[in-house]
Amino acid sequence: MRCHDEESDSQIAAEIAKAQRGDHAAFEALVHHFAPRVFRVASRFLPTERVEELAQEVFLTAYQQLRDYRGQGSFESWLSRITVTRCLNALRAQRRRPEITAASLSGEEFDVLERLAAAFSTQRFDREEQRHVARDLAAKLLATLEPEERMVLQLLDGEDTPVKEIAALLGWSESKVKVQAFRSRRKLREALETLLQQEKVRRQ
Amino acid sequence: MNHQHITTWLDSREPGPWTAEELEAVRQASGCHECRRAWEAAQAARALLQARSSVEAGPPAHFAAALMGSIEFPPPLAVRLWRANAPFLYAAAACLALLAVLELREEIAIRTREYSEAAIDAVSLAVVHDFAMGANDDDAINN
Repeated sequence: MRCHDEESDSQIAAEIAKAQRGDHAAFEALVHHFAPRVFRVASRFLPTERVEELAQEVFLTAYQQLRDYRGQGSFESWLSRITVTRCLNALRAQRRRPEITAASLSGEEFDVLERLAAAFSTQRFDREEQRHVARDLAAKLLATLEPEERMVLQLLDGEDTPVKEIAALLGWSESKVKVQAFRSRRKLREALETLLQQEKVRRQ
Repeated sequence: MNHQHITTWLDSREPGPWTAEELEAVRQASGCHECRRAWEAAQAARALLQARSSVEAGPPAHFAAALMGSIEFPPPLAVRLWRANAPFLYAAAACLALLAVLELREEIAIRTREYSEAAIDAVSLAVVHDFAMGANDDDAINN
């Protein structure tokens, strides 16, 4: 397995070197290899319908900056950094949603929210539809936050990405990531506390 | 009773699933209304973010081909070098041609002059020769 990985790594390194010399076929091979990763990262932050456009921008940027890639760190990390930066720019261009109130949520959304909030809940979703509702609700809640807050929260608690890695992806210091994470978590937690409280009052 | 709320560590914990120690701390704090509310919201927030992360989008089949079609690749190095240096090369070729023409003209002029001089010398020699021969003939007649 390790031998296979090393072989694959050396193949990728060879394709990168060829692409840096202007070999189109080598660049296309890199696109084929890394597109699933770029799509996966972008889909964490953007609506599905915008992912393909962003992935195109990422690879165009990568093509333009390919000569600057010196092989320090993996090509995948370099590409992920470009993707995250592009996603952050795309989020900055979006207008923030106003705060969500209990009145703006559907009954199904509240059911999912209460289920997720139930103390020590382990079984989260009975049906796939509930997972969809949870995803949409998460997107709604995240849209009320600042782009940097959304980015950090998604990476930290959505992906369980270590602080050091987030710092490298965003080009921030680790302490900045920690401060941003603390504030973002508190903001989202307090928003959810308010929603759950409003719903309890409404049902009484 | 002095109670420390769990809100601060809920907001500053390391990423990853809840650990046994964290869950134990939550259990111990569950009697506090504020801590319980904070825990429920934090748990829901984490679960929602995890659900958001479960979205899987992959590239469509045409993605790489469409991307490659949209990139304006620069022409090969030889073509780029030619395009960049063509005016200089044309000018250099014109200069060389001009020099060659000038050289040729000079060569022709020299050759022509040499030929003319040689021709004149031959004519002069013939005249002198004829003159000398003519004088000898006159002497023979007189004798």
